[in-house]
Amino acid sequence: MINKHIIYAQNLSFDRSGRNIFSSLSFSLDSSESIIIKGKNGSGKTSLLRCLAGFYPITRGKLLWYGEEILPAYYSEKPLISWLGHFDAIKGSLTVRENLMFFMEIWSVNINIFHEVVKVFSFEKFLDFPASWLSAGEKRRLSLLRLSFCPAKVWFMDEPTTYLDMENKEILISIMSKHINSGGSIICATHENFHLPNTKEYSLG
Amino acid sequence: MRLFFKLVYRDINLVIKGASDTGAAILFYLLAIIMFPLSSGTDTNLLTTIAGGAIWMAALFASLLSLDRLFRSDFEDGSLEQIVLSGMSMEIIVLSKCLAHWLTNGLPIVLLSPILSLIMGLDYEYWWILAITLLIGTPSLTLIGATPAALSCAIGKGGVLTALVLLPLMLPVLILGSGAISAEISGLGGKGHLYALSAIFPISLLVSPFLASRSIRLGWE
Repeated sequence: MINKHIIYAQNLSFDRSGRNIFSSLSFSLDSSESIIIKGKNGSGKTSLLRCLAGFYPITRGKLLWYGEEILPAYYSEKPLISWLGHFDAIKGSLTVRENLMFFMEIWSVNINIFHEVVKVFSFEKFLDFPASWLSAGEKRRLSLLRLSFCPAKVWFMDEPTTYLDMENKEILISIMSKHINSGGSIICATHENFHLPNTKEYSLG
Repeated sequence: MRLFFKLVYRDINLVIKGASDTGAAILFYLLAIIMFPLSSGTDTNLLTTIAGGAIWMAALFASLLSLDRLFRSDFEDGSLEQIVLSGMSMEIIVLSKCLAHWLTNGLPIVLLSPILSLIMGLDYEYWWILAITLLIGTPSLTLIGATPAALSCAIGKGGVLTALVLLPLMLPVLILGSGAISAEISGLGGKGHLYALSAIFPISLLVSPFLASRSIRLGWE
């Protein structure tokens, strides 16, 4: 039964520097599902995402990916998650195209998918700009663009709406819904009220 | 393996685009050696004796300067997290970064050394031993430097601290490298030193990827 879940977490606890960040969290994530994590600043949303990805070691509990004891940060067969964190992983001295091409190549993304996604985010005219010319909001859109062409089924998003204007929030929500409807899953930490299909909401802290 | 070379290519491209200190480190290497004869007088015999050691010291400092940022910029802007989530093992990432560093730092140091040996007044017939010691020694310098560079990401600061950790670790390479040159000049033959110097490379190649990748993961925790 457990084997069916993409993520299966049982009684997860995490302590950091002697402080308990969260404890006894149990949940599961399946395909075409989304989990919204809410909570005040400092309630452990980012820590939870980093624990699930394998960047932080969980203190107690059981965490299974696809029914096995693997973690995305230690898994070297293929990307298990597409990650949108606080840091944009964009190199200012490379052009937008070079920034994207690198990830396209290591993820073996088809060029058609790439053009499609570039169109969705209306990034055509920026492709040959050095990435350092982009504004904070444009950099965030570039990160979202990269996130959305990653072949991984599961999206990890840590406050994806930061720096985005209203119009781009709409686009964000539409691509998130599209991802869930086409069989993907999302775990998203946010302060916004998202209306996503098939969603569960957890509050921390 | 394909991913490995993609990452090497990206890192070299970043160096060419001026995103790292590696180019400046090579200029530092050149300048330091050009300035050395200016500060130590015109005694050619003295210069010839210390030429090997001086060039090795300059090479060491040049590696040190650029090693400090081996992982830092990718660590700080989140690229390293993205790359490790892309299905690449951390050890392979470390190795490809080391290869890119050696190609942009170690290799130019080796290629420039025959010209610099002229500036230092090293006898013409000994340029090859200098070049060979650097060719064998610089890959080890890069690999040995990977772990302190990764640790400096973990504690969030670098610069002088990285240098303090690194210099003692690099001592064997420095001693054997410059020792080979003086042994060759004195007529004893530098082969023994060269063999010992070559032995450091496989050891550091085996050990450093594991230590460095563990250190980077520590930095995330």
